[in-house]
Amino acid sequence: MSVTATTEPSGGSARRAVRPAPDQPKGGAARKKRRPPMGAPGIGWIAPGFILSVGLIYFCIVYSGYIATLDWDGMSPVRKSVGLDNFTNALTNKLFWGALRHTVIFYVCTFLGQTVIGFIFAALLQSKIKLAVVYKVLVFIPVVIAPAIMAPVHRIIFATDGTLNSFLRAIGLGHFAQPWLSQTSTALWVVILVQIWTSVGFGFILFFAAMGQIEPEVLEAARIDGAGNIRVLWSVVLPDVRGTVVVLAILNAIGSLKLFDFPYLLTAAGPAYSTDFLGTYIYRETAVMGHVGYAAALSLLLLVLAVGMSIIMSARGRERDKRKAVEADA
Amino acid sequence: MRTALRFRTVVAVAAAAALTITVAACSDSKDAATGDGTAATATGEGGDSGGSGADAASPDTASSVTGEVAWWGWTPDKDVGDNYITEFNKVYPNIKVTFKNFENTQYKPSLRAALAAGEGPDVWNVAPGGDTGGVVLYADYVEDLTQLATNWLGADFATKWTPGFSSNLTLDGKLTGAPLGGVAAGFLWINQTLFDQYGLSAPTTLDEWVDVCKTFADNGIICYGLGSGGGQTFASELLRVVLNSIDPDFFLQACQGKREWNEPIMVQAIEIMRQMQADGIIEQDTVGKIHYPDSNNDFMSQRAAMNSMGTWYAQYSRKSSAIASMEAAGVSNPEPFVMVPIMFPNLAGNDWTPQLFAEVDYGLAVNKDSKNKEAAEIFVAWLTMTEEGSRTVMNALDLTPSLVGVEADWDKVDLVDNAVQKPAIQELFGEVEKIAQVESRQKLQTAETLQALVVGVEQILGTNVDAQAIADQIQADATVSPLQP
Repeated sequence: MSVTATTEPSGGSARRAVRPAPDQPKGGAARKKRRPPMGAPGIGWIAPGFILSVGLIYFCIVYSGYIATLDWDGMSPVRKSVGLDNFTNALTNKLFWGALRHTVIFYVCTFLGQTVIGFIFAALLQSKIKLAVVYKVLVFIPVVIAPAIMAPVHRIIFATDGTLNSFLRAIGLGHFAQPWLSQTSTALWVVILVQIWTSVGFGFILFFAAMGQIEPEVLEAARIDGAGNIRVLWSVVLPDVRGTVVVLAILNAIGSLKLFDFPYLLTAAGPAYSTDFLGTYIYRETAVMGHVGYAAALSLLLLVLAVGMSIIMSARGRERDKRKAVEADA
Repeated sequence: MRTALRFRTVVAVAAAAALTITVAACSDSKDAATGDGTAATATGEGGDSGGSGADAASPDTASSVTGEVAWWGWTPDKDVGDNYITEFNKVYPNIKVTFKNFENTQYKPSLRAALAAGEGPDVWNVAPGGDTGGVVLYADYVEDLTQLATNWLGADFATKWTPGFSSNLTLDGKLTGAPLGGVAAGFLWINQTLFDQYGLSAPTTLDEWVDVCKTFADNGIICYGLGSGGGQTFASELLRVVLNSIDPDFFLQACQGKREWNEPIMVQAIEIMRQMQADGIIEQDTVGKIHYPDSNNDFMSQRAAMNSMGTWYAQYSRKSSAIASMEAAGVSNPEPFVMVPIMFPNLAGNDWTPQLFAEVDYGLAVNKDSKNKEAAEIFVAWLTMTEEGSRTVMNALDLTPSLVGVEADWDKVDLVDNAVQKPAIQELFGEVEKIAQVESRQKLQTAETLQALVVGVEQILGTNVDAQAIADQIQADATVSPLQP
């Protein structure tokens, strides 16, 4: 609130130069600071987008709920109401439970793969190694390549006369060569492997960023206390990047539930439904079989699963935060 | 005050617009459910305008009609479809037709979405049944072509077409599509050039087939290209051939529910197919391959010596089509090879070899809400109801034309080896007219049955699941839909 006043040397005309202090708004201290409007006009500005997005989502959910009570092929003017039959049929259908089982296996494996490998890559590249930027790019490139481009390449790699089997034969391991995508026993693992390969870069980049936030003094203190590399990673770095692990867990869970691209492009959910997921199941029932009502019921079950899982994970996260806060206070 | 009012008005209008867009985006038009067609004209989903076909195009006035027609299909190949259009435009230059070809698996989802959105094509392919173009899938959107056929062929139009062709495209008394041509499957195409190169003859028994395959395998060539994966139905056609070789009546009877899919004959067929795989006739990773494009590319690039496609494959006997399809299969500067049709060898050791099966392949439907309906009808009528249109179809060697008694203009058909291929193809196409079935397999198979057979074949050739268990599963899935457990 200081006002700097200078007086002209005597004899001159008095002139006051007024310069507002840095913390004072122009116009003088007497004016009150105006607050940006946050009432009805603000809501008005966001209303179109809000109505569009929320309306689109919730209206479609409600509408799907209506369709889920119909026996309808999606085109015919004849829509037969079947009540909750579509839901009971889904819950008693082995294909639904098979798709769910594949989803769980897929989730566990891809989450572990992405987390462990991403963490190791990030740790390695945090150390001073040559050509680190090149390695970062190489690890991250699969994340940005479209599945539609990668899937045909992997179909060639895992074909009976493909790259992998040729490599195995070349190094004398020909007896391990398999028709990888043609067997129910191996097809799911190929899909999982391809997904891990694709997503490791994403885990890596999150871990790399998180590790960059760790105070060097903490690491230095651990070193002074005699901790080796493994011990530092396990006891210092990993606890500090636990938030990243939780983020990956949630993202992987959501991604697994809505998975469609790789199972469809690599194996078309086969052979014999061995790589069928909820996404491919819903697509097949809708587009191929024409059971749109049944597929809508499946979609709602998928929604319930996704929301339920998000609630559980968020609740677990809050509990952990509370626990940590209590520990910190103690 | 005025500014505030204007702002509120803008917000209100924006909100209303957003809500309208939301509802419109999610809704699939309630009016479709009412079936009254009142809103259908606007959405392109229905309406009875012209549905009876009473104002169908006539040959008398066709020459003065202009318009643009969009045609969608999963077949023929783009070059063949474009050739049909070129020939059509020689007669009707004022009607512009564009053809869009889809992969089999993408056709139904694309067309259903377009029709539901009121943005469907003017003309599209329909089949008697099946999962791709079955008439029942699109019947609500098609014009009844009875009057059109009457105008161009007379009241007895059905007799002008191969028997069964029009009836298999008729639904509830409505001619949903004009049959373009017939197709036959249940036989093999062989690369005669490769057979000659290795001194081999077409096999007639299972043992001979094993020997042929051994020779090809020793030379790094796939013997019999068969893709069983990807949800396509080609491998279930092989299952039908094997079943026919045991009991020619079983397959259609099982489709009709007169026989059970888990009868001993099915188990026997499964064991024959597995033996064919164990003997090296069927590839080990057949389930990892998709017939189109994988096995097609194997054959067209001469990596495979045999393939079980249908009559539509005859088009690749033509030099120009062979070169185009070989290039599409990844061959640079291709030298077209000689391909000829042969019957399947005797697979079950009976006294007969399995016969091919034939029926109408597809017809052309006209969108009853097309803005260029008259032009669309003229295009359809010319291809399916005139001799010159039918000859164009025949010359392409893609289908046997629906109109009876039409011969190819063989002088215009540029076969790779006229002496070898012409008699073989003439014989094959002649058979279609003779044996075309009134009971359409496509029409009899439900989506559930097709899916059950596709998955069953994947289990046969990709797993060690017990044969009886596979047959039981096919029986269960073929007859049970999710709503009728």
